[in-house]
Amino acid sequence: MSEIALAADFAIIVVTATTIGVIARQFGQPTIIAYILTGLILGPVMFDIVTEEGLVELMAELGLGFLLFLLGMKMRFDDIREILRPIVNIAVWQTILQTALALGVAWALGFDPTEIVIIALATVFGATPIIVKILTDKDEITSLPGKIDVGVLIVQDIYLVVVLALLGADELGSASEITTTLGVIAVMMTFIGVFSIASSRYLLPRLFRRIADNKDVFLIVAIAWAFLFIAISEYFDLSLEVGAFLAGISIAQLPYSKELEDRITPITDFFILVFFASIGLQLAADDLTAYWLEAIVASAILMVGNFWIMFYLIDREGFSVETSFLGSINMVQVSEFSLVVGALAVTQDFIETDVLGYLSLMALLTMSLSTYIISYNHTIYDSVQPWFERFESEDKDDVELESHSDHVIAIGYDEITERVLPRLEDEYGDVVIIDRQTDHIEALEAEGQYDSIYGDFRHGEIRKEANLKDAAFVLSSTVQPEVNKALLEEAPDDATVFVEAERIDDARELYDRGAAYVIMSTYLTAERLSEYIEQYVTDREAFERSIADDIIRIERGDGAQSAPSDPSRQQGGDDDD
Amino acid sequence: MYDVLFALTLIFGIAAVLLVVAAQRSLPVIPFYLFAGVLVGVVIDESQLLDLAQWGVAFLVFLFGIHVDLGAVRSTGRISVAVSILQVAVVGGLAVGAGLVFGLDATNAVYLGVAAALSSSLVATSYLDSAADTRPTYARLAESIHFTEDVLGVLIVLSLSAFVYAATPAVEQFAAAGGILALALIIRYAVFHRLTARLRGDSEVMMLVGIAFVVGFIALAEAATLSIVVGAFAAGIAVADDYPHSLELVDTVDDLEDFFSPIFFVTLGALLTLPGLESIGYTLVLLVAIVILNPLLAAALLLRAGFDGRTAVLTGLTLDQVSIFSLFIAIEALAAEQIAAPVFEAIVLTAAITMLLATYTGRHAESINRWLRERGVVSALGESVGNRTSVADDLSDHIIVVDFEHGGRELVDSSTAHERERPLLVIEDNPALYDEIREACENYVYGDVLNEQVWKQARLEEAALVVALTPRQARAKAVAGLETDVPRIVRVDTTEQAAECSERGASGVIYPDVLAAERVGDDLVAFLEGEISREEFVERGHDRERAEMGSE
Repeated sequence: MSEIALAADFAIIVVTATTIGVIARQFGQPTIIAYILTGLILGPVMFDIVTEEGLVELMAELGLGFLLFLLGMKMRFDDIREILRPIVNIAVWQTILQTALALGVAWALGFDPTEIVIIALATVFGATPIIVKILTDKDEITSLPGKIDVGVLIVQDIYLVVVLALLGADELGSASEITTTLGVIAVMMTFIGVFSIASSRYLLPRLFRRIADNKDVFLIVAIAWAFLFIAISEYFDLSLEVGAFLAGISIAQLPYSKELEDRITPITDFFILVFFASIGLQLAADDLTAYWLEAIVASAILMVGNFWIMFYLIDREGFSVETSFLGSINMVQVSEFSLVVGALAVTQDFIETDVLGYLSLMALLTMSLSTYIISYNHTIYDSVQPWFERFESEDKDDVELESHSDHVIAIGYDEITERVLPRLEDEYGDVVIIDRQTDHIEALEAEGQYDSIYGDFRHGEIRKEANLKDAAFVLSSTVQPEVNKALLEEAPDDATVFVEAERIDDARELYDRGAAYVIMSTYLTAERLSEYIEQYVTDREAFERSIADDIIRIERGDGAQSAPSDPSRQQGGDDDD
Repeated sequence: MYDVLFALTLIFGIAAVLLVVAAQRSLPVIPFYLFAGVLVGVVIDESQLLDLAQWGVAFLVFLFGIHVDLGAVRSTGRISVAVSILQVAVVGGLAVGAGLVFGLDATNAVYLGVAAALSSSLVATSYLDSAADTRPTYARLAESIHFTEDVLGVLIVLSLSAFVYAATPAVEQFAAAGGILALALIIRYAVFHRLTARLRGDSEVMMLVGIAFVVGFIALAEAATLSIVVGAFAAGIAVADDYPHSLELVDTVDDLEDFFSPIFFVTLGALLTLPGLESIGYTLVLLVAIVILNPLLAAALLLRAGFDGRTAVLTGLTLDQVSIFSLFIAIEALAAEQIAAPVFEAIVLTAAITMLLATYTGRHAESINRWLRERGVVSALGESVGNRTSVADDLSDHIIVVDFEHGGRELVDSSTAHERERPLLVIEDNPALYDEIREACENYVYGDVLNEQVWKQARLEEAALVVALTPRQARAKAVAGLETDVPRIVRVDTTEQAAECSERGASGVIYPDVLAAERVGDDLVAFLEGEISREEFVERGHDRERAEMGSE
């Protein structure tokens, strides 16, 4: 076994991708570009030292599966509920219009009929990893334009899954065969979809509630769920992507999806690297350059064209001009899926690798350029605003978005948070509790007084969900110093942060890092004990009265109905048994 | 390719079902993975999974390497290193001897010896895992012993690849390994921080860096024909504990490990066949060595080192399972075709059995300890009480304080500061605090509250009051349940516990969270109502902290 060398090809890909990835991030470029370049550098285009076979192929396949699983998991309809109707309108028309535009451009550039169809299907605009990543970094993902983009991307994904399923089918000779295949796909997807919805209603909530507290089991069951759906869809001759996507959707509506998303993301990142690199590996040197001029022309036309399509559609829904502008200028790059569709089309022999080269080149161009466009979207808007004022009108207005801001975040639900939160709610109005124990979350939901999020504060996805960046007050009842330090690092400077510590050294460090208050129950305990003892010495009766009072008070549950306590502490208390 | 997908579906499907069962009963997951492997092995060809399984090994060792905290090892120190080396040498030697008696060749006897001697940190840490401060002494001891044994595991893997698998047995291998580790240390102290500072908070690239480290170091190890375990370990060392950037890296690699390690364990299970008489024989040898010899030997050694009986026995009981490194060694030996099939099977089988057993002994450690004590085993192992005790002969009407670390220290300080007349007596079982206690108090007993002898020495019947500040439930309960009329106040952490303790006879309870909640509530109101400015508020906290510092 030691001679397998962890599959040398794969090792080379990872090391190269990391090197380029680190460089790319210095220029603010997304990692996906680094991955494609990795494939090009290691493949026939440049050095030709790695081939796409064996483990690499398997890992690429797994990457795609996990990508779709993750995508499905992100389809939380709750997130876009407020703007669902306009988003569906925008997404449907955007898909139709841009496909038409891509079709026209491909036709004008003189591709074959089959190629034109594939190119038109593959050229979808709006790359989730790029938009989400940059907007998150810029803290705009929950702004209205960000929400519109994410919403459109979600609806678009459904379309893409259908396209993938269609291309994955074997019989596509004539129009009637395509219709039949589409029909079969629709029936199959409905069948699996119904199964997924039914299980997300009846089976999964019960299952996950039982296991969500166990970190390992939680992840393994989720992965098994994905593989189960992949197996089902393969049984029905649908592509693996469809299964993974539906598996993701069935988990998406559960309260655990955010936490799970955070756990699945690294695995996806790991495998998807191989997938995008493998696209580069498939291309020969002349594949990439075969249509270089066409790719540049098409990129230019499609970027401009799609901006106007999006702008028109968002504007038509009555959003303000700024929202429409930002929402559309974020979406001016080819989706990562055009490569997925392209790669599938090559496997199915619909197109040659030179067309995949054309698609890759377009992806590289539009993605790298749009990174800068999104980063400077506000600056661009400011400079063109005078001209765009002509679209202004009285009746355009943005929807008010529900999101937490200037709110209170409580990490962990225990005696202290329970006692203090009502007072904080009076002051700040909006309280969110993060807790990673399902029974606490359920109790909180049943009570309905505060918003709650299931998950571990260590995870970025959870912090994002709680909108830590806009919090006014954070109360952490965990005693883990590293979590509290991370909290102090990320919390806004003007927020008041209360943390808890067990040791004086930790307390000092937390104060140094900007905590407004460090709760140290050990010292309070000692203080109270001193009082007791003082009393015991001076006035025995008073002592007995006060300890009896304490017991009664605690048993009656003043300040604590259910006595939950911080999980990390709980473990500490139990490990002696 | 679709075969592998099918295999993965089966692996995760079966593992998920079994894990749900395991989770319901809070059992460790590894034996269930192995069992799932046995089931999966019926259907699939496990050789195609070896590639992915290797990743499991790589990530497991990598994460272990990351968690290596040289400073922490130095502090708990020499005792545990000495204990583990002695224990490994004695038990390992005996098992090698048994192997030779059974007629194994030297190499296979060594495999048997390694499997018998080393204990798993992975299984143990899963139930020892908690905030460092509330961990009892035995857990900290166990951790550093396990850690030493894991390092020994790495060394054994290294030696095996140098002398057994290598075409020409060579000392150069050690030089190469030394070079790789040196490179890792250079990266750790010179490069890593600069790299992460540039990548601030980008978890995806941080993960890439982590994986690239693993892959790169493994490639180096491979180039030097060393085991991947050595490479992955070096990669872990190279990742400095550079808070907070390494947190992101560890979290993401953790998720990858969660994905790959089941594949490793399931593949291992799939490699098992129906055990023959010979494997059952070896399994029995291993079981005797691991379940009986290891704990008793470790406990005896710890007693010699001056620990109390309970701590020694409980620490010993964490050593009763096969080490994860023994499994790595076994699978590498299998790949190198150096291990006899019955020995391999015995090791994997024993691993599954002992890991399940370890959960049981871990849960019932207290009653096993009591059982051993009642049968005189603990004193036969060499327990001695009283050599670290100082109690005035005429001590009476004193206050007994249990647990110096969690508030006892402050209590003693405030008593000294206020020049109170009433004498205090501290009971503590952590030898690391011994010097400090000796300095701070006149009266102290070193020992465990579950040991009646300790209470006699503390002159319980003459005492005025007992306060137990320990956050550990079992001890709080023991103090509450003492058969005496002396009033007892215990610390509790939940309402249920409060009720239970007062039922058992505690006269009072202290509930730190409630106290803290009251205090925080009052302070918060003052703050929110603008009675004091934010600056004053923070300043006050600092003052209080400084005052507490001063009292230390």
